[in-house]
Amino acid sequence: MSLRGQRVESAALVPVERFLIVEIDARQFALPADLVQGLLTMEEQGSVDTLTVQGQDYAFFDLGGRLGLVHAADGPETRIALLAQAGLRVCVRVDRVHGLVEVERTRVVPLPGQFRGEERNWYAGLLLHGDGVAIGLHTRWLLSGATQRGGESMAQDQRLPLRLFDTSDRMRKGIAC
Amino acid sequence: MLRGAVGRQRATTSQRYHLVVFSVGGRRLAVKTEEIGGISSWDGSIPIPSCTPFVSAVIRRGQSVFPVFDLAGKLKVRVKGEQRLCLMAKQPGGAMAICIDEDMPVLHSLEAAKVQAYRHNDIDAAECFADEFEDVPILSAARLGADYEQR
Repeated sequence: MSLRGQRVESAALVPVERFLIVEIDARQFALPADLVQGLLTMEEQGSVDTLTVQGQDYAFFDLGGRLGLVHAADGPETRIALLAQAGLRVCVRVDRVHGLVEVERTRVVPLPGQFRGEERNWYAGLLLHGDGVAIGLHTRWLLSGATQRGGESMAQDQRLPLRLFDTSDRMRKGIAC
Repeated sequence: MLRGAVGRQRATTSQRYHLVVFSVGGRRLAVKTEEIGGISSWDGSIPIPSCTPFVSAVIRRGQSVFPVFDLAGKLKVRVKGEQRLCLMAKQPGGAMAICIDEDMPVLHSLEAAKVQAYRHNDIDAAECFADEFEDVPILSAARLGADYEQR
């Protein structure tokens, strides 16, 4: 194999990560796509504290409140994102879903060191997205509000497949996985 | 003697302060030129929810992201002007952006003898100099925002 061929191969294997970009209070956040089990409209939400979807309970995690943000009023863009990993399940309310993006890992930069507070536990990094920045959220922090039921832990290979379901026509067209 | 002359020249050079004087909300401040990474137009910032006092936004420059220090908030003033400027302060952990008034910063050189201790607690400044109008604090760019430790 020629050196040139090796270079081409390595260029094609740039590590990528997938994120669901959501918005709360005009700020964009990046949810690791492998956490996202689905999206619900407000009509489908039902109970506020715990949501049961396909027999699985998702504890409500007040993402906006934890970040000191003010949610927009419920509207047609409002969604509940179902997140799960290793048996831990939470749901978060977001003002809007921008879509699923696949980005090279080099476009996820660390949170600058001048941020010294509790936020270092919240953010995994900053995602260079479009002309701006989406705030990458830590999986561990997102799932910290979950309650794990006995014997329900899932091994990594048993993780639920990514399913972004949404009954609205608009979202079904907008997100394809 | 030549050696002596060189020595005196060095001493003279090192006794001058080279400063950039700018303003935030009309308040005049100075930073040593070697602590400034550049000055450009202010194109807005991206808010980041944060617990760190006065650090709750970033700016993006190409593929780089820089934190913003809210110096106006620290001074309890509002940045003035429509065409605001961005001053990049050098820090050990990377540059930090500061939004400053639209008034063009001025280079200022003064003798060390004119520098005095800064006796107020409103800002992270150990030194200041007096001109015909007021005492101008000399900020330590590296220390901006460094007084906060995670509790």
